[in-house]
Amino acid sequence: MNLAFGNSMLLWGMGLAAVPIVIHLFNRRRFVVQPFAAMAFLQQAFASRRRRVRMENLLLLLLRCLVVLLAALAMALPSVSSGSPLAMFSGGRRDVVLIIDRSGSTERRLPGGGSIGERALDQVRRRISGLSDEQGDAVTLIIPGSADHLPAPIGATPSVALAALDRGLPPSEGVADLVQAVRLVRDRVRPVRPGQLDIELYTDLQELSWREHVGQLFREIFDDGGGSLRIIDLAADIQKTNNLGVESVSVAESLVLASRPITVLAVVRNHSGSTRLGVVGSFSLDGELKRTIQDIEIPPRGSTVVSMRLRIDTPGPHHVTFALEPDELTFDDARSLALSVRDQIDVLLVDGMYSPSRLDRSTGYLELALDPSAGMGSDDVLTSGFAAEVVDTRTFEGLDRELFEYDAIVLADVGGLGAETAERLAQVVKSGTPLLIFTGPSVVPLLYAEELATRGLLPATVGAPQGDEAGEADYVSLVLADPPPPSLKMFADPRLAVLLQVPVLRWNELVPLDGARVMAWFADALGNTTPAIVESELGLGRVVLVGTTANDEWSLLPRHPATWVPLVHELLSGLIRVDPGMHNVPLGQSPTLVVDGVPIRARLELSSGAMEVISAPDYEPMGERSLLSLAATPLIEPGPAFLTVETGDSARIPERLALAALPDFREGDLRRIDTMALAERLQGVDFVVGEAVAGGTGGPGGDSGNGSLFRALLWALLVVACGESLLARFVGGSR
Amino acid sequence: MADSPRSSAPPRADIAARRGLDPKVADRLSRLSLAVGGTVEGFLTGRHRSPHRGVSVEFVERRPYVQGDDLRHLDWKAWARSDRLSIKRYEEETNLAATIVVDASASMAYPPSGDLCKYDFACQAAMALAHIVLRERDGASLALFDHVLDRVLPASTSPLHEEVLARALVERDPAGETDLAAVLGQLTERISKPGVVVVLSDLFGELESLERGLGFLRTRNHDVVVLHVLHHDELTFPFDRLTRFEGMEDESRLLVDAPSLRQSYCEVLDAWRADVRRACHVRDVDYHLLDMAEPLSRSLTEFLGARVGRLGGRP
Repeated sequence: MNLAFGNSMLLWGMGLAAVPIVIHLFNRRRFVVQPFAAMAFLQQAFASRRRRVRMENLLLLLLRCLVVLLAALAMALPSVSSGSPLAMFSGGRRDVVLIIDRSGSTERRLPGGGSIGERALDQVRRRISGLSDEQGDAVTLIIPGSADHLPAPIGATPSVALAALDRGLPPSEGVADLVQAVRLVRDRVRPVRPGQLDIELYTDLQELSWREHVGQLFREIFDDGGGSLRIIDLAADIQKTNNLGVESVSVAESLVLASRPITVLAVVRNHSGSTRLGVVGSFSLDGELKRTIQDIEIPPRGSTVVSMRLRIDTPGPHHVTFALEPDELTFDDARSLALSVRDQIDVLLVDGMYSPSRLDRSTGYLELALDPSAGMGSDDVLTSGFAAEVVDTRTFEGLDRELFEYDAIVLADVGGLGAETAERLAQVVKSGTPLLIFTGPSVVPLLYAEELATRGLLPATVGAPQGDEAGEADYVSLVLADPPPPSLKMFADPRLAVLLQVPVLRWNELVPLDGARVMAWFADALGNTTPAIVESELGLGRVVLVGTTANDEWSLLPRHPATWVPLVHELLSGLIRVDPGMHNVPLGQSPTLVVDGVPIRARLELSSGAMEVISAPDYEPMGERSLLSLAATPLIEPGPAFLTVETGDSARIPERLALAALPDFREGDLRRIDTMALAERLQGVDFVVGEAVAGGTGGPGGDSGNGSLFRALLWALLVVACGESLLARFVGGSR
Repeated sequence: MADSPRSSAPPRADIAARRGLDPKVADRLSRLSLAVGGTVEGFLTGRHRSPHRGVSVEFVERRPYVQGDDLRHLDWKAWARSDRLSIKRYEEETNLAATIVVDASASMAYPPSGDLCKYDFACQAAMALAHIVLRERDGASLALFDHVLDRVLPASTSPLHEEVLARALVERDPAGETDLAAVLGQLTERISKPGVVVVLSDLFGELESLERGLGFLRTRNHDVVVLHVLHHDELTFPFDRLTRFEGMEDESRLLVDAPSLRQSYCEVLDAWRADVRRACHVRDVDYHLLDMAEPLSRSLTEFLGARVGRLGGRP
């Protein structure tokens, strides 16, 4: 019969049914004694009435007990399954919440064809078909981990829910966030569906989805109005897994420049419990196969890194993909990486102490570091990829929109900036252009504090110069912070540590501001340290402050090319490096991108050929750039995609960006949670685990669809109370 | 948790007052008479018809003279008119011997709460009737009974006899069971001459016993009057709580919800009373219900008035 109770504690109230009996027995002990002469007639009358009186009294007593029983039972909020003989009294109103696991693991192929996800949809469709609009049944569909958690309104009619199914549910996306789904039931569904709530969870019981304890959340839901939990195991009939997946694809270099070799790395994970030999994978660029790697060996539950050297000659958006041979779960068999290949990096060097002689300028050594081959005039010499342009402070203050055209801006020994220039610079940095600042003798700390620090353009306050320019006092040298920052990671190699041991004779005292990070310290011979390179973020851009000169006036670093050139390159590359997460987003999420100009229309092209045009996209203007948000257009198809952005400026060529939707590699781990662990995660919750049902009607939850008996019991209570009242009146009248 | 009605024995003086004749009642009944249906055999010449023919002013018939007739009864005027000798016959008048039979069984003690009980009420009625009889210079005797004839006081016409009767009634308290057939049978044996027998009782017992008892009396030509004494509670059954009724003449007990039995009880009682009335009627016995809720004077006035009217006697 599967009778469940919302407030089972109130069932104790059924004991109050004994109260009428106790009152009856108690009253039978409270009588008066009356000597009576006409006993013979009394006994004769009693003999004739005894049976009827007893029956009437018994019936009254039963009705009174029944009133108490029904009241207690109604308060306990009982419910029955739709298959129960009592279902006809449940008013037919069933409030069902169907949580459908659409995580990547549900794309696992079934031995007989189809996938777990398709099986889930089939089960859910049949379950909803077993409900009735006419009886007031309500269905709430929840897709955990999806951008659209609620494909149909909360408490929708079965027909509306079926229509939502027919329209198509969101495809598999990442990990099914079960906790989020249950919280959603608690916070949004429960307040508007206060009665008996029957939750059915359609899942493959992947262990990954059950990392957290959700028993408390379910208890909070069920304690407030009652309910039940039924888990439909969609993968009960599937054997052990041999799944392999691509965990990640990345590029070793910070910057990807055209015609320069890069190293593409792919991590292949073995989710099975046995070593996999002879695995075959292939790299491809923009769909063109570049290299096939044979005989990859992967340890059990481990991973192997495979790599390929690649040179991309054409600047622009590209996709590098690593793919394995298809297995039981194709969801994680391929992974792409969106790349934005540049032809060169344009760096604006602002010289605070301009001189006709290059090496006398503040920026001279920077210029040399960025383009050591400048002036060689030979095509055979490989350029650094950096294109530096030097301007003095006055020229810099005259630049406006042109500032947005540079990939990085470097201030070297600039004494100070006017308010207008500082404001413009702050806007440029906020839009994503990095800023590298070297101090020097021209720097006026007060101006820096007033104009740059107040606008977030300084990660640290600049203090008075320290040290002795003549080298008579102790010098300091660079020491990397612990842990070393990624952009200076190459100097963390012990073999290269000596490169940093170059004297710095004079420096500005830096006091990091809130949110700033010290990348390197100046350390003297006694081990005393003071911040040397400090980093902070401003909007989408980053600012790095170096506490000494970019020329050899205070520091001997520029005179040591082995240190200076990689130091400048790494610092700038690290600054310019676009966060790969901006273009490579988890499957199902929406990218937020920096684009040039004001976007008026965007077009999203998926690898499947599907195309979506986004008219009037959401954006946030940032000077000459815009922060484009595709919140309404999540990437729901794994793999590469392109976004073409048109701006209002007809002279500007539409910007084309590479995007990639990355499936969550953890979904490839198809291990299932065992019964004990499941009971632990659902501690304190009464739940039933059922298997998916093949064929038939009514769906797997057909036996568990609960209907509340509360209303029926109230009616029964009313009828019995009226019956008791009428009988009492009748009996009293007849007597 | 039973609540018992309080009962306490009142002093004998109070009992005497309770069972005696209220002077106001006596005054109201002063013009009434216990009319007699048929003839009675008294012990003195009186105002009541006697089955014996004799000297009297009540002419009955003439008959031809036969030898041996008393010449004092010769109708001289008829002889002068018709020259035939005829003898006048007159009805002999005698005094009334009224036997008042009072039920002193335990059931007559109802209600036991100390209020006026059926026995008290019956005593008052008996004293009222004795007063009427003695005022008419008739003889009144008294019999008390329960399951046997307990005490019989012989008839007397003396006005002082009223006091004797009252004392006998006061001295006796109701107790014992009722057996009307036996009692009335014994009484029949004790009363040799036809007279008036007034039975004051609640008649609780077998109807057959009553019928047999009345039959005994009627075979001796007694003018039998049944004054059925019932308490108003016994007629209306006014109890309204869960009550344990306890028999007054036996050990029977019955715990019932009194209201649930009221209607049924009243039906049974009414049927029994109808049977009693019918039993009296077929034996030419006067029956009258004395409901204790009614004043005694009114009940007796009503009864005696109706009896006089029915029998054609003097009021």
